Amino acid sequence: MHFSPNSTKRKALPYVVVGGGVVAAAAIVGGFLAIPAVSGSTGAVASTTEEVAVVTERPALGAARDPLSQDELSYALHLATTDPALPENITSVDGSEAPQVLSVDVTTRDVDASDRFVDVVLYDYTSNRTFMQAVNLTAATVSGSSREGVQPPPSADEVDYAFRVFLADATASAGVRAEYTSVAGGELSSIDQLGVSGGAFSPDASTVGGDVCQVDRCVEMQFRVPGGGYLDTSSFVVDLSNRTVIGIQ
Amino acid sequence: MQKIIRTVALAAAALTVGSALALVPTSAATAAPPVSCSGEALVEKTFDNGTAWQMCWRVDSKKGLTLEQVNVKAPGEDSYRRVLESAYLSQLHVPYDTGKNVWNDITSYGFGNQYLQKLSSAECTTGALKDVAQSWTSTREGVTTTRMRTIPALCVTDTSRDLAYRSHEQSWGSIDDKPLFASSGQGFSLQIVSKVDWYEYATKVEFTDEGAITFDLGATGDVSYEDMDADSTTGWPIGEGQTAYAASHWHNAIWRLDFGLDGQGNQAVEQYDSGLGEQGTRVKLMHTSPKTISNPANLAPVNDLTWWRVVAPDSLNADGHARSYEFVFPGSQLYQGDPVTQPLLTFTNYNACQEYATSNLNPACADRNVIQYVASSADQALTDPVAWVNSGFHHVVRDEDQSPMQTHWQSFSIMPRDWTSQSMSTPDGRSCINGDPGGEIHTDESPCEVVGPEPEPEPSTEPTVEPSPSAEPSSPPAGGGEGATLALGSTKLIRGESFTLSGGGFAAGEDVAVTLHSDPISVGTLKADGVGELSGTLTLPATAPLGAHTLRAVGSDSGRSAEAAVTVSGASGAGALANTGGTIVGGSILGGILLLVVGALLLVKRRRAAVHA
Ligand SMILES: [Cu+2]
Repeated sequence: MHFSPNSTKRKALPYVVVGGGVVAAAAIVGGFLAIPAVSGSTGAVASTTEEVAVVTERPALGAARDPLSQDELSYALHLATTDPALPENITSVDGSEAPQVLSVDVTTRDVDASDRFVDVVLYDYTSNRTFMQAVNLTAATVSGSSREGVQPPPSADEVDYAFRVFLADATASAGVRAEYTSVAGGELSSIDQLGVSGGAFSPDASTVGGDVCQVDRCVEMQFRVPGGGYLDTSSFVVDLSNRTVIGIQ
Repeated sequence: MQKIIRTVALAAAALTVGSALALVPTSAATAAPPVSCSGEALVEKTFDNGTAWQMCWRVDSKKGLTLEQVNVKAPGEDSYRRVLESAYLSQLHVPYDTGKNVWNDITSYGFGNQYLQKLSSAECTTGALKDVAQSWTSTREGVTTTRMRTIPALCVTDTSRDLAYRSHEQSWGSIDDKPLFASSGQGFSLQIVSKVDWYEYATKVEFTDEGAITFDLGATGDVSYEDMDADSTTGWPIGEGQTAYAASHWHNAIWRLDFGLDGQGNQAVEQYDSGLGEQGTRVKLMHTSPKTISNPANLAPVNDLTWWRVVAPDSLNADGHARSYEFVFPGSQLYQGDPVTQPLLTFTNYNACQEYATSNLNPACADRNVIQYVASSADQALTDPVAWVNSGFHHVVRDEDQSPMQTHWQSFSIMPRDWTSQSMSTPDGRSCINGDPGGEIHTDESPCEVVGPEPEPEPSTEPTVEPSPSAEPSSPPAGGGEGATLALGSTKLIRGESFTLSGGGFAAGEDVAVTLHSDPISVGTLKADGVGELSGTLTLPATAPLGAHTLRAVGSDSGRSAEAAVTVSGASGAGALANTGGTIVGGSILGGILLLVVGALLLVKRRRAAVHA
């Protein structure tokens, strides 16, 4: 695993949890995230989870407002992520040289448009900018816009990564790990042991700490022990741009 | 959004240069609004009263349940009309009264994808579950992989409500059911559940057979485990004694409704306020008057009499009234701690990049919230309104709200005002009541869908004390015939011009009266042949109201009837406009023509009254 050199990231963090300043990146095990188990009722039938094949030629397109087929989603991703207008040094959450994919949705704009438009939202951890790639599947074109300080919800991939950053910070995670052990027994060592929500964190007047998250991409999380209660996660967020844990109040 | 209709209007105006009249298309039943989805993504529902809805639904990763191209068809109309371009929850803002937390559940978490809940049939007992896709894209070491699955997540359910209406006519001293017009109403709802940390939110939108739409957010799940440290003013003690005070907090659901009333390019927003005025003979008068909201604005009610509507001034119903939808709030609490939740309603012009009420996630927009949207467009004329509707709830936690919390609902509706000339549920027996009946319509004696020769003499003009055991049906005669049929050469009728019709299933040799509804206008009478079949040519009266109507044929002896939906347009002299329909507005001749029409209608009513006298 390697990380792109990145001069834009801030190193001076006013509220870094003691001992959590620099996470040993190598300690964060790579690999693909586990797809969370279906959340909700038992008894209802979910489909199996399928890996989506890469699609680089325009597939058959649905009607403009239909949900995306696998092929359409894949083709939209292809057009959005290979758009030459994206920065050359774009990086994903693990620092690798690819855009981070946040979401893929049929656009909700211009509902009577006849062409099939898809919004692919990307994040560039190099420039700390959100890119919204408005992809026209019909015309195979991309119209992009980007902005700093716009922080869409973290993808499951980013929550997974944030959890690893948190757990790898022995000091910052000590309280949660102890609470887990007392509630569930055993060691907390994987996100699969918990129910996890992850949200984009932006500091506001009511927060103390985390000012760096005005620009950095930060994630706050809630943990629930299956069959048990919630763990107290109110005092930290994970700064994914810096791969550090930040204390907040 | 810009509407094609605008071009048509311009063309119409150009045609009439030099005339005192401006012809504006009614858009009556001409071009159906688009609905660009298929299969399971398309919801179409026709109710028993003839009202129909169609729309496209999806579950957006952030906005959750998203409805688009929401179109309604009123009974008797042969085409849908657009109500909303789109509707979705554009923010769920949750500040805590302890000042320690504020959550933005839509823009920080999202109501779709991994937070969308799988529903079981037990959670959708009377409805149908629809599948929704979830996807995961992960990137590690430069390799991106996407996985997808579907879960049953949308519940589409039929709904009903008792006492949609009731109107009973009863003779003094009698317990007889003379005409009793009573009905339950029908509807359907679409609902998803999204789990964001402790809370589980149901997003539900319901459509009724009377044209109303209700937007509901239900909150259940658990109260926040992180917020048990309030005091007696910022929370409420739950559990034993006074040790744990659950923090009070807000669920400020801000919905985004993009209006597209009848596909019109020109829509207006009006605020109505009422105030007591001068002394009348018994009480003070009360005056209710509108104020046009001319520019994008943040709006709060003046008092509990304030209400608002979005109106399409160029889309007129059969009574000549502009179609509109008004907001109905059963109570919305407005959080004053943040400027974005101080308004009850914010109106902006449609701007593609303004997708969320706060913390806007579309990078093409510099403005991030409704306050900024209004500030940067305050000098625009408000003609293409998007409503940002703050459906707020201040949640002071109860003991009963512990796990699982009782679902609390917060809702508002939009309701048609003058969309149709009468309610979409008007029964045939009341279809002749439109405007001041002037005491000349006697629906108890002769259900008013029966026009022309009376088949059934009334037994008595005196009120009887004795209940009459026979004769009176307990419900009005059914409007539909026993196998009678009616077919037209064309369903597009032109005032003052003849048209052909044919039919069958009537009694041999009987007279068949043909009338135009809903405000009945006699068109003529044809005689059925020896086998009860009918064929001939009639001329549509020049006074027939424009728009969508029903043509009904009723056999004078058999009482059998059949009907056909028709569209009435103006004289063919209007050339190109004849096939799109037109209505006359403005100009000095307008008043005179309206008077002529009104006079003709009154004449028709008087004649009918004379027949029954
Ligand atoms: Cu609550």
